[in-house]
Amino acid sequence: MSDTNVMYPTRFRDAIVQVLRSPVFQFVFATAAATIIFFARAPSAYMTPVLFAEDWDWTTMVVTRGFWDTALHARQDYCIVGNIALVWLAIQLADVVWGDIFCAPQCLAVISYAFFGVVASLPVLLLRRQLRPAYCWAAWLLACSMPLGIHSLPAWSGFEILGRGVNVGYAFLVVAFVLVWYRNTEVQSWRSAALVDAGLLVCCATNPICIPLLSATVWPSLWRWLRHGASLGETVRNTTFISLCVLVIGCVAINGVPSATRPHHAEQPVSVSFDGFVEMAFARGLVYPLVWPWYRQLSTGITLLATAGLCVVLAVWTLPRQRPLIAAGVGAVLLVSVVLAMCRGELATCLGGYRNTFPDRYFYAQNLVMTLTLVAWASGIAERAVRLRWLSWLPLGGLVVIAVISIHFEPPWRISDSQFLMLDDGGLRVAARRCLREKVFVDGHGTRDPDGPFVEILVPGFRAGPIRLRRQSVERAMLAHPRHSLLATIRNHAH
Amino acid sequence: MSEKRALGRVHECGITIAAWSTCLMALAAVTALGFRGIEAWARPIFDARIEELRRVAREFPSGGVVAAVPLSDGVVVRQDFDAFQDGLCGLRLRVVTWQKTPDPYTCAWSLMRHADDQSTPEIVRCGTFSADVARDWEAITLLFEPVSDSAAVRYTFRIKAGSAEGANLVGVPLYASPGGQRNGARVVRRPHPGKAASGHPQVIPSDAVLALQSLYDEPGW
Repeated sequence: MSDTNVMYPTRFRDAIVQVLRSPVFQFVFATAAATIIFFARAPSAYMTPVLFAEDWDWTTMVVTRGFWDTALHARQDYCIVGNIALVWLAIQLADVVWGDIFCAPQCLAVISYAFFGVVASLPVLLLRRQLRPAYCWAAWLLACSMPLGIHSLPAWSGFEILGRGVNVGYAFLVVAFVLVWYRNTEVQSWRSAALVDAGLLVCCATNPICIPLLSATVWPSLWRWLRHGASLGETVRNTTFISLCVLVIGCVAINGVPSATRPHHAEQPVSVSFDGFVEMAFARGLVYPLVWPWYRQLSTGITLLATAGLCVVLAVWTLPRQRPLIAAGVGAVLLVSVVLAMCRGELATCLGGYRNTFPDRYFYAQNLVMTLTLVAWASGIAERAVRLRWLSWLPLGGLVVIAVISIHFEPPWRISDSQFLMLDDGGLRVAARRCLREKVFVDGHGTRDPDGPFVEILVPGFRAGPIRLRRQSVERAMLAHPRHSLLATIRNHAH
Repeated sequence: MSEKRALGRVHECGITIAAWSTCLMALAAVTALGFRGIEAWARPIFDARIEELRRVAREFPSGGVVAAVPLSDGVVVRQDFDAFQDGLCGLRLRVVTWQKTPDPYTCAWSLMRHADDQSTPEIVRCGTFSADVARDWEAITLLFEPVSDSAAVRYTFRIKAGSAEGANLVGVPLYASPGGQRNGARVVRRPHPGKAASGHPQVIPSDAVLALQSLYDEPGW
């Protein structure tokens, strides 16, 4: 390539403008802004830092068994690579960078906010050619303002999603959806295919519901074969198809063949009534992003009517090239709903006949997928109406109105006052100091060993099980933490 | 000529790197400022709530939780306590909701005064509260007209649960009696087996106590 074809900035101001226009910088900006928004929406994970639910046990596992063993075997039923990556990152950040392992809950909170920020901002980076820029930002805004049940106070369940490591797995469905969309419309070379497939592999090794989504990646090959008469040999030799095959083999190697057993729950699955399924699948999963302000006024009949209306609108007033995408979005939501009805039937009881939206973590990802589908549809409508100058802005205006309503009904300044607080009040640090003094050292299996590399810390009245941390890390944290502030913590705790 | 061009490219690369560094650093600074700003805004709200939790933890029983009684279908829970000064004007009771929003059913409460002559205690104050105001593991406050001569008098606090239509109940946690307390909480009417089977604990020890705190009509409580 000759130098004359390459445009280099000659002035600093031009270079700045180029950076600001670059998709990567816009993605980083969107992620940073979303991180702050998510922190404002659920500050409790950072303000009252505790290792929430399984984050507590996974921290012990990562410290004693290492990253890969925990990621692949922490659960009996599927792998949780993504969750454990966040927990591992938090431990490293707290221990190695910060020098205080007891800051791990706060580090995990920040990493989790940032992760959700990345998820919300993915369309800005990857879907720029599929959606017009304004619609990418509309998708970002809708993801940032997705309601998490404030209208069923005090059961607002955003506190257990945002800022936690345990519930990020659900969001990998959204990541997989965007990656599959990007792969099917953009990827041409084996390099980019391999990169995207590596991302898809992480998604599948975190949330097994992503595995069926992979079937959608065959669509371009199928289209070439059926529509354009490409030979089967040509299709199979296509490098993106080869990368896909490697991905599928990797998924089976990591996850094994999916099983219908429920090792997590010993009891039999709860059967779901027709009304319960309609509520779970259609009301809570499919139409919720549009109807959530009136969720409590819904019934089975109204939900079915709204779903039918939405499907008709999506099927009729859409660009033909977007139909597969819209079908994939609706299909993904329904697939998750069927799996939930089969494996987590008790959720229908939690929803209680349009009374609650808790637990929102089970429905958050479907709502985001549905939102993306709606944004794609709106973008298509705007494209159709491009000649009608003002009308072409109407779909975008509609999306912005939905986001504004969400922000109006679920404003951060109300949320911070309504969160379920858990407080260890420095108990972990105090208990660790005591365990260090009393030499409660154990080996990797939890057996008492005076030379063991781990400290076993039991915080009375906080969690039933102990947490095991690396002895070296605890000692370093005790040294790093000034004595006077430790005394203040102890004094507070004693009170 | 080619050297000049190469130098030019190095210069341009330098400008690009400088632009990226500037933009990323500015973004990092703005993000950190935004994060700290949110923290500064939320801190007073959280500090107030944390202080409230600490106060509840200090003043309520410090033993472990041994059970939680779901309040439904006429379940009656009562506990005796001694008022230690005049002006008894309220009670604070820690409740649980099993991380759900309770249904909006009503529970009745009453405060009964024990006379010195061991006769049947008389109701001095009573009222109701709606279950849906309860937050998990937090306290509900029942305020009433101050009892002017409450010092050194034994009272019985009694709750009678109403009927809940749904499965979302409010409950009262029972704590291990600190040092063998004489007046453990008495669950007069046990939960209905059907209700109790829906995931709520059923074992109710006889010597456990409610997390109950008496409030007095004086500045500072």
